[in-house]
Amino acid sequence: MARSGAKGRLALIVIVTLACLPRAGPSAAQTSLESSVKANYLVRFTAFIDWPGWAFHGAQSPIAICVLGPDPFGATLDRAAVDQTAHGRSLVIRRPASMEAAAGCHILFLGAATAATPPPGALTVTDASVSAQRGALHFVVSEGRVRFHIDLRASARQGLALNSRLLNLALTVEGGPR
Amino acid sequence: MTIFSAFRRGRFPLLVLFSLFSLLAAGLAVAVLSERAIRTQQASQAEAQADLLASAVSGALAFGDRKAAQDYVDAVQVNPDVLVAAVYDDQDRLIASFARGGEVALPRPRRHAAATLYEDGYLRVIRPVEESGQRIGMAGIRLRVDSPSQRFSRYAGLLVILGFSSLVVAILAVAQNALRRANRELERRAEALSASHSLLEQQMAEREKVEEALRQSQKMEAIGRLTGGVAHDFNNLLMVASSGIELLERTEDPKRRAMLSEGVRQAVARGSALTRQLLAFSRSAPLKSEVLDLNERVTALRFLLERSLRENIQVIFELGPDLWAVEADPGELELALLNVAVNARDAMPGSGSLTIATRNLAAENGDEEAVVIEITDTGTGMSEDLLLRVFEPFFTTKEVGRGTGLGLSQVYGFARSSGGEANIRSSQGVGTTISLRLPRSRKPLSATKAGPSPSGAPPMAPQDCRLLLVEDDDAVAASVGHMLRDLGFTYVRAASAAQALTHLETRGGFDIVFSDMIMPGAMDGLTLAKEIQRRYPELPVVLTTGYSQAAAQASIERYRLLNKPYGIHDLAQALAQALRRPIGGA
Repeated sequence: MARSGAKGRLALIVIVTLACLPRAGPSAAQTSLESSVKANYLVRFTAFIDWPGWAFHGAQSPIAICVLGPDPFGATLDRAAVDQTAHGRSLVIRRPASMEAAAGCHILFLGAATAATPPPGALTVTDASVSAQRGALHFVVSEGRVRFHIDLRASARQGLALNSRLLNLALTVEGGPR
Repeated sequence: MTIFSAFRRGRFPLLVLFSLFSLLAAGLAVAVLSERAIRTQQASQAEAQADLLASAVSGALAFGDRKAAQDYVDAVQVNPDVLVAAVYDDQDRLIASFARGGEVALPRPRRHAAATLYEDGYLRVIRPVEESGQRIGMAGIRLRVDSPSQRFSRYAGLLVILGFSSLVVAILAVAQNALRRANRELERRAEALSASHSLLEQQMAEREKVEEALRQSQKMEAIGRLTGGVAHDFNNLLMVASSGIELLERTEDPKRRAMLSEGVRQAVARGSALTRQLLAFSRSAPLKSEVLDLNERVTALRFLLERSLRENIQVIFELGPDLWAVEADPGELELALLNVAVNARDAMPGSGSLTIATRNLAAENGDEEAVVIEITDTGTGMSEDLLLRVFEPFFTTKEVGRGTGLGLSQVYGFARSSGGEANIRSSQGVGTTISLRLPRSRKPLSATKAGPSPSGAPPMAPQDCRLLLVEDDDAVAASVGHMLRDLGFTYVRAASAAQALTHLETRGGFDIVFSDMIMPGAMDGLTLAKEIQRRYPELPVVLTTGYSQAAAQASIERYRLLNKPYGIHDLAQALAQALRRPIGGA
């Protein structure tokens, strides 16, 4: 599975690079800088999201950042999370093999489109360069910068509240009061 | 004196120093406290602003949204005191900033903890940007705080008030100091003044005494100059008396004896009157103005004048009728007249006449109504040069030993002190006229002394009247004893005051004491009288003396006094008055 993932990533990069030229299609080329920014964003999101108490086993339980499916970040994400905390909790990076295995994740990056229902308490993050499917947060590249859309309905379904400062930075906010 | 010299001399009161320092300390404390409060307020405002920026910009920093970050930073600009604001990401990269004109953007913060720093006129606040405990970056602002000159101007008002109040306190202190010194000076002057005042009073008293002595010596001098004439007159009287007594012894004819004894009696009476007048004249008495009838006074002096001048000098009186009264001291008046008379006598070596004239002088040429007394002699007269000088004290034309030159100056002084004036006219070979002009007095005449003693047979004392006679002189005691017996008194004689007191104690039963004043021994007559008055307040005392000073003293002490020499009539009258009942009954 890992091998096939690596092959797939190479193929994806090629596809994205090619796809960039006509500027059409849901996916775009993923540069190492772009993925590093997104990895950082995943870590930053932890500070702007309020999880309900039931989302953790205990007071010291860490916040789990999970990557399901193809992983565009690799070690970048692990490095970004090193020594970081949020809400007094440390951060761990997990890469579950399936949606079932993603139970207990707090931020779930979907490396590929999936129809499976995310576990409760997990904030789904999708990436326009991967698929058109939108999670609660959806990365896009706008005017050369990595931005995101927010779907409050999705986050509310997961039992999560998003910090308004995060909402202010979103390109669009779906399901909000505005 | 300046404040500084006051400080230097240590005269500045401690209290003032203390208040000055208190004022300064209070002003300083107010300034420091208010400065501290202002700083605290500034710092807390700046910190609140920085906190606001840090919390607002967290999302923008977290997700690298420079535009949003810039919006937040720019929002801080509405505070005009904020000069610089900047936010940095967790890599200390400057994300957004603004700086007002002339200011430079904040340098990268050296530390990441919250800090509030004062840096020469600026307040710098650094706040970490965190979200849910995650460190996202830094926010910093720099504000203008007051420059030293601004701070100074804030406290300038206070400083001015402080300065002024210090000045006021200092001026008050200096003024008080000056006042205190002035007071001390004033006290010292008052003391000096009172000292010189008492000195002046003392000197005035001394001068009065000296003047008194001078007047007395002037009198004595005048009497001295009269001595020749008086002695001559006395010789005549003694001649009459002694020849009368001799003739009495030789004849048995009662008619002739009666005539002779009457002649002797008259001679003795004249001598007695003469000495009485001399004694009265020489009596030392304080100056006392009385309202006088000049004619009366001149007439009273006539006897003495006639006796004291030579026989070859005729005294003529031309007394004006209805003479107005004048106000003068009678003793001084008599002395002045005597002085003029004696001078006139000396100016007439041979025979001549002395005219004493009085007349009223009506008001004219602004002069008030006055009485003039003019004494004119038919002597040698004097030159114009001498006329100008005769009223000067100690001026005399007489040889040493015959005059002091005080005579006419006394005349002049008497006229001036009585409000009048003295003038002299003279022509050589014809004579001299001295005129005294005394202003008229409209006051009633002062009471004159009792008239002459009554003549005729003396009254007799009651048979049971016991008298204590105190007299040291045996001859006088014997003659007075005769008179007392003749008057019907039973008397006991004591030779001294001490003996008199012993008699009063041992024998008792006396109705009256008659005592001489001048006696040998520890106690004189006056002291004896006082002692008797103390022991026997009801017992009357009559004193007698021929000594004028003692007489004056007795009359001051209000004792009954009989002047020596006295006749049997005088004695009877004095004793009767003292006993408060007529002697011999009605």
